[in-house]
Amino acid sequence: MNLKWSRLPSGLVSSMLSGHLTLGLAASILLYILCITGTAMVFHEEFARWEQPQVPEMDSVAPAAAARAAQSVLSKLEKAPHHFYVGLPTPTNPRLWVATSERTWFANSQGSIVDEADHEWAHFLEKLHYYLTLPTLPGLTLVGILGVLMAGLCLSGLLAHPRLFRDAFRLRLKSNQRLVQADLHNRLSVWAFPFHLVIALTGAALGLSLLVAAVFAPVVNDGETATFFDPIFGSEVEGADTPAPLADIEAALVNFEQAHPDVRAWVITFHDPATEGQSAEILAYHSRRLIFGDYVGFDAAGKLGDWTGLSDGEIGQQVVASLYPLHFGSFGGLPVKILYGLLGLAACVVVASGLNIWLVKRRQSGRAVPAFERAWTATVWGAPLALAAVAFADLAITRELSWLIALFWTLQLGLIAVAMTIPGLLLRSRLRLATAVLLAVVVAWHAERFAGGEANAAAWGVSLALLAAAGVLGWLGLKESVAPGDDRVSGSGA
Amino acid sequence: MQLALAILLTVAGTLALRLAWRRGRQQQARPPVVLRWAGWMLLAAALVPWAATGGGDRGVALGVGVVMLGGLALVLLEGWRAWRAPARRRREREPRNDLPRAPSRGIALFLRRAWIFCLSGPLALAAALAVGLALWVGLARAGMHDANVLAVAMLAVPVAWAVLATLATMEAGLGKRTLLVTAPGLLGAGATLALAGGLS
Repeated sequence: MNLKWSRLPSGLVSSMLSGHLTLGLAASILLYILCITGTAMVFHEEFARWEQPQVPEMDSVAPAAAARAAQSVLSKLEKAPHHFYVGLPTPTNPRLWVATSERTWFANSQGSIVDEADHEWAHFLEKLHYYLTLPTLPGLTLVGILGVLMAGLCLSGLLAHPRLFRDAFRLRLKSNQRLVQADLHNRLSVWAFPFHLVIALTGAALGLSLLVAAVFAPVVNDGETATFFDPIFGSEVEGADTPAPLADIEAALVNFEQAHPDVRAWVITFHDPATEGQSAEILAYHSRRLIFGDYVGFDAAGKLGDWTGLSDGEIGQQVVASLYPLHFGSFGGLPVKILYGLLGLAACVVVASGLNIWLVKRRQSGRAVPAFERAWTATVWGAPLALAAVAFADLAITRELSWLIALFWTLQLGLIAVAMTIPGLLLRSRLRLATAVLLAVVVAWHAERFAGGEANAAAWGVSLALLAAAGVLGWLGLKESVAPGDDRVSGSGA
Repeated sequence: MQLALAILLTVAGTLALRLAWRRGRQQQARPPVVLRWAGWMLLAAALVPWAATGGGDRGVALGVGVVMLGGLALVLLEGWRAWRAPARRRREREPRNDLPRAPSRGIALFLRRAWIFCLSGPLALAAALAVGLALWVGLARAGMHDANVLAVAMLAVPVAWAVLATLATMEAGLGKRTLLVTAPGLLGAGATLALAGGLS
């Protein structure tokens, strides 16, 4: 079959271009924030390790140590938790942790609790990317809607581009501003198309899942939203809440290692722990699969049950279990995370250059919108600055999540408002330089704060990456300050 | 060994496509069809060692990721070369400015945009949900496992909404757009009612 993409009907191309423009304008600002936070979220485990480099790390722990850590936390809690988790070390998060729904503690390789989790920067990133800092249902749904818009942008963008293949490798960086932006937008979006479509659809599916459950459950599940996803993940059994010993973690892990030597126990989850009716499962990581893992239950004596089926059950279970790893690139260790980080940066450039093309076209057709141009510059280059400011505040001022959220939105919206009202103040070069300086300060503050203590590889990696970002932004900012160009439209270029 | 073969085939396929499309752009008398096909075939063949080395589903995802990265690297290389090259005498032709102009002004424009917002937002969502529900009821009635039905519905709703939102915002008459968005919704709702009635 010879695909004649270049012969797409001009009417269709024109229609799709119009749809692409409308969807892009509707989504651009929030979509850009989602893209930049999503890129950072790929490394949320590394950021958490960077925030607390003193926490002991290990390749693996003995089953007895995991059991000891769980018992240690459970015995100190005033009230028995509804859900309880024990996390075992993995290559990307080599720590032993114990958590309730509200708090998390770290243990050493002997199972003694040594610290409480306090990585609010990573937590902030999660809140911003998952919910745009809104409450769970509206936040998740809004993010899902943005995923839908992004998927629409992917489809309309594909059909609006008849020179898709012919120009696939063309990047005219020394041409006029509009061609530069168009080439950047088209080339990056075409080559990263599978990635963009996958993160859009998986994000939309995850984001809209609660809405779909709320709408569908009355029709197909007797109104029960709580059990709506049971066909995929299995059901939680409610039992008697009479106190009883915690199910035997040590025996379960030993049995698991013997029965399933090819997969790795990752998280042990309890529902109503230390009660007669407790249910316990081991979430196992399948290193050669896309799925996030599969659950195998165990009883009070540690005797294993059957798999839930996420790894070998119905195809629908396997597909749904692959959504999260596909979205966040957590299916191949650090190399895949780096790949996702680069493709995430490409997505940021695609969003930024997409709106730039529109702004240049407006200007060229005599319908410039200078206030919006400045607002877009403040969005594109203000977002990294606001994120860097939150990282600094987290290290040096407060680890209160609500304050970090308030700081981010105050800065981001404040920068947009100032840019719109005071022309010539928030130039791209200044925002880049400010971000570079702040990133360098963050790294210096982190180094000073944790000097002399333990430092893990992730902490070094994050600090070096932040320094590299500071160097690149500083160089670009200085270069532009020395030889300023048109800082209105090109100023918002990514 | 498998990994090396996978990378080799991926790189060769990407380079073949680059060569084919570059020649295509130069509008040679004979389009490089063989080279283009060879590129696609090499990329398709690369998926086999990728699946073997990385696991079935995961290996394919890794392979696609490497193709994307390779393509982007070649594009950036092209950009770097263009940046370093001496300035050309002939300037690139300015593309046509195809920015659409608003067909109306004032309250008419506001109402038009408000309707397009309703079409691409709440109405397209309602239609997508109706389509998803119809799929659910239909597939369940056909005997498909609950987990598969749920997965299809979870993915069908965002896909349908994305397509309908695109149709709602494309350049066409408002009547045509309204029909394109509402018809699937009405069909979905009708099918759900009919199938659910048949179930009960």
